[in-house]
Amino acid sequence: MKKLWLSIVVFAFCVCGVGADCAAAAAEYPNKPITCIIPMEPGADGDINMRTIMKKASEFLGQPIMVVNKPGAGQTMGYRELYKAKPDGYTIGTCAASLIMAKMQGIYPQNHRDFSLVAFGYHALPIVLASTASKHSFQSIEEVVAFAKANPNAVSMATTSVGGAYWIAAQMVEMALKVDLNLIPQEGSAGFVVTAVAGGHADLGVTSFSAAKGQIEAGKIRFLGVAGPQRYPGKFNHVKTLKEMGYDASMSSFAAVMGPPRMPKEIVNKLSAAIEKAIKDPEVERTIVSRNMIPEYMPPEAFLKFCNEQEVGYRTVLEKLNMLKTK
Amino acid sequence: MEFDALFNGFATFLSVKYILACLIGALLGTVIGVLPGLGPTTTMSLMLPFTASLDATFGIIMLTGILVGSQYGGSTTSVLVNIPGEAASVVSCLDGYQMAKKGRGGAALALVAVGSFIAGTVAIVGTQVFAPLLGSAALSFGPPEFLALMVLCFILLSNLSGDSPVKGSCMFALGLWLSAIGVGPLDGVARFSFGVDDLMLGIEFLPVAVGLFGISEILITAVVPYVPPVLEKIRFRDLYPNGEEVRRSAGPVARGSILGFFVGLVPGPATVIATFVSYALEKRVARRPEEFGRGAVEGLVGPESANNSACVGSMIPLLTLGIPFNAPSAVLLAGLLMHNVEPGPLLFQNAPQVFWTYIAALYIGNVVLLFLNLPLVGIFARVATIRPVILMPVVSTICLLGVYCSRNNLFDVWVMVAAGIAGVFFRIWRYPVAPLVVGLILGPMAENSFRKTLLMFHGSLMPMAERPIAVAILLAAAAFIVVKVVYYALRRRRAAV
Amino acid sequence: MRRVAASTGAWVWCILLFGLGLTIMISSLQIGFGRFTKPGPGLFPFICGLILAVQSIVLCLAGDAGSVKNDETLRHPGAAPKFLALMAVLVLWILAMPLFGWVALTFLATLAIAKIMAAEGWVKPLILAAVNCGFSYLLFGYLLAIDLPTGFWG
Repeated sequence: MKKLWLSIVVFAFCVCGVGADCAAAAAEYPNKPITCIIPMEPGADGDINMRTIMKKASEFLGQPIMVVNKPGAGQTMGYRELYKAKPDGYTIGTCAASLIMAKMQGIYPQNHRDFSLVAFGYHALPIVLASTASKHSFQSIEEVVAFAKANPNAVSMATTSVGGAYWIAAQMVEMALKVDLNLIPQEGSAGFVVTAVAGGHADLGVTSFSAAKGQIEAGKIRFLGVAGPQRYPGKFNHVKTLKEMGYDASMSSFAAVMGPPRMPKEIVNKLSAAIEKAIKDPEVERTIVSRNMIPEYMPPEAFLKFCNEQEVGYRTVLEKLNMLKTK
Repeated sequence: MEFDALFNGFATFLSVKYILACLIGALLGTVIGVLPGLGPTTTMSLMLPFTASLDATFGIIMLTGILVGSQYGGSTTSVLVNIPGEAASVVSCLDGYQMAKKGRGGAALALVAVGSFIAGTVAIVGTQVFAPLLGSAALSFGPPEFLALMVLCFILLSNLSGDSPVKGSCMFALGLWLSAIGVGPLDGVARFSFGVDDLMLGIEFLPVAVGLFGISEILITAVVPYVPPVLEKIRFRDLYPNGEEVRRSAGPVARGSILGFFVGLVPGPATVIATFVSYALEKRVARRPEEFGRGAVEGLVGPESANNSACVGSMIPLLTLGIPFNAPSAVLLAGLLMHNVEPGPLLFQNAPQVFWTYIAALYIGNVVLLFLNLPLVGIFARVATIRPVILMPVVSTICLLGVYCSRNNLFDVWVMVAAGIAGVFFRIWRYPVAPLVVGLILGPMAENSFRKTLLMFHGSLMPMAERPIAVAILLAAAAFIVVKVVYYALRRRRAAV
Repeated sequence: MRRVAASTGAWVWCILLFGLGLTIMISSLQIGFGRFTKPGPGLFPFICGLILAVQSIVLCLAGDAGSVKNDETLRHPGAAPKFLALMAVLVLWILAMPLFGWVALTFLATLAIAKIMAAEGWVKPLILAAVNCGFSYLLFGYLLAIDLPTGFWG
């Protein structure tokens, strides 16, 4: 068994190397390690980016941040866990668009107003895709509208699972275009939508840019428009947003940091400052941009305002679909 | 020209630093593969921020090492203590543990290591030669093709273990239903959760598998009086396979390698499908099918080879499409992106050196793992000779912790104990548990492909006939049934005469 | 196929599986079957239940629901009490963990399992329990930094 234990020790050293610069902090907070609950499975986009941010932030805080994954039930399992935690700043968590939506959908009793928002991290804007392999092969949004108006329910659109952020985005797109599409929800991750569209199993798709970029560059998928508030920087800056085209469909999936309810203001500010520095760090920025997301720091107040604006859009969609469970 | 590129890949590799990266990765992978609950996904995500600060090649080599290493380690606990550490090792419990009980645990592990090495190498050669060609094949798999594949799986599975296909299909249906518990993947509706928060999360594979195999084994071992093995001291020779075992393994390894590679191209839980398709195949072609489930070496080596080969094969969709179809490859993708390597259809044009370094990493990783694993066989095999009174308390601790730390959730541990108790009764009444576990794994895929196909074709399944791949798979399923019926009919007639 | 006379246990299994299948079917209908053009969340579990119910009937008719001819597991002397005791240990182990913490309970549970499995004396089981508990804490709790329930110790 000796070799086994030896190898375990080697493993452990590597693991400890990840986040253990234990330089003692001078100020009172933080004076012990912080736990961060990520409500997603290891390896998800939100997990990888947040781990990178947390690693950097821990350098500024002077305490290691231990990441704990609590995935499940559309991130609400992780929110539940965080909601119960002591608001002493030693348990924080990350959130996504589901935080705003889950209450309206009746999945989870709390929303963004019930937590102590700390800092906004980055945007992941939904984009509208068209397949080049399916029998329709649309070139532009106008073409989609013209065809779909003439043939209701004939055009299929792949989306992420019902109730998810990009599914809401897809509903917004369908409503804004004023057409009747055949929405085909896929199980979970954005990659499935890309597969369905690239393989020609669906004519259109709404998903994240990061998952689709490779196929767009290879010409297997056409990038028709951004269903968010801004265009993507870089190579695909020429692709317009739907709003610019005159269709009112805009949402942003995001990742941000929050704490349990009623966390003291000083702690929130201290954390927020550390996360701001982390997000603006060139190395972290490069990681997030390399995954095709848009880093943007927002302090708690701006973050709350952003959530409230997003909420209005979601409510309209859910109301129209008769899926609004609580106000 | 291609060989030049590969040699360049190897040349990149031949520095102490990269071999060290490979060694660390392989070692870590083996260790976490051995411990149930800690999969490659968790380990790789833990290591990601760590590799970010190193150079790109180092990081990629290390992550690859972890991934491939975990495939080697995964079967160890299946064989020695009947605990499948990951989905792909479920089938290995069936015959592997029986071999260990007969005192052939060392032989089993050694054969698995060599078989995995051969299969891995075959798949790497396949990747190297066919990757650009086969990449887009994964895209032609839409919902109807998956549905057809699931039908085939259902038919193969009911034949997986035990003597009664009816019992097998009962257990498979039960597994499928268990997978439907919780918030549905397509529409977010909570099903069969009775308002319990934890049930909304759904029932995971790991606690059920560890319970049905591991905990029920512990319960049964504890109850049955201990009979000391005839061989008190294991001689060196007994740790390694004998001539007959090697001869019997050659065919399964060859078939498993090729089968696994092609199944690996299919998006989704390819390694799991590869293992039991290989098991079903071996059972069909074996000269002594009655030995299956009682320690047939073919039933262990075939699936294990298929598993490793599928693991390598599943890298093709990742590298050529840039789409990860399972969790470990999602993390690998993250690692590549972090180093500004964007896998996808343009990888071969934009960064061919990455592809070839990767291929070289796979080759060397495989060799490293073989030499790492063969000496370990000797150590691990002794585990099987520890007296149960010492082994079982330790194993139950590992089961409990492993299951707990996969999701940091006590509920999973309850599921494990419940499955363990149910497993004892299943075993007494001869209900095979492997179909249940595999049903649980394949359930979401079966349901999603079924519902998406219905949506896609506006409520009809007939348009499936227009899709050649789906038709081919369904024909294979039909052929399997026909062969089986004819076989029974012939045997009955012979018995009557 | 060898025909075995169905025993009482076999019938119990058939009825159990059939009942489960039927229950699944009924509750699936309540969840929402949907239409074939827009399949609902209950459609798939309904089919699972249907397969289960139908196969359990086949099982009854075929008469091979469960032959216990060769399985003597629970018939060994003292087997049933041991089995029950082990189950109790497992259940208590998990039940009390949030209260008393991981370390103390693992020590006790290891000891209990070793004693139930008829380990002689006290010294060896105590050493085993201590080593097992120490190693598992070192590996999972300390090195892998998994947040295990600590109980009231803090």
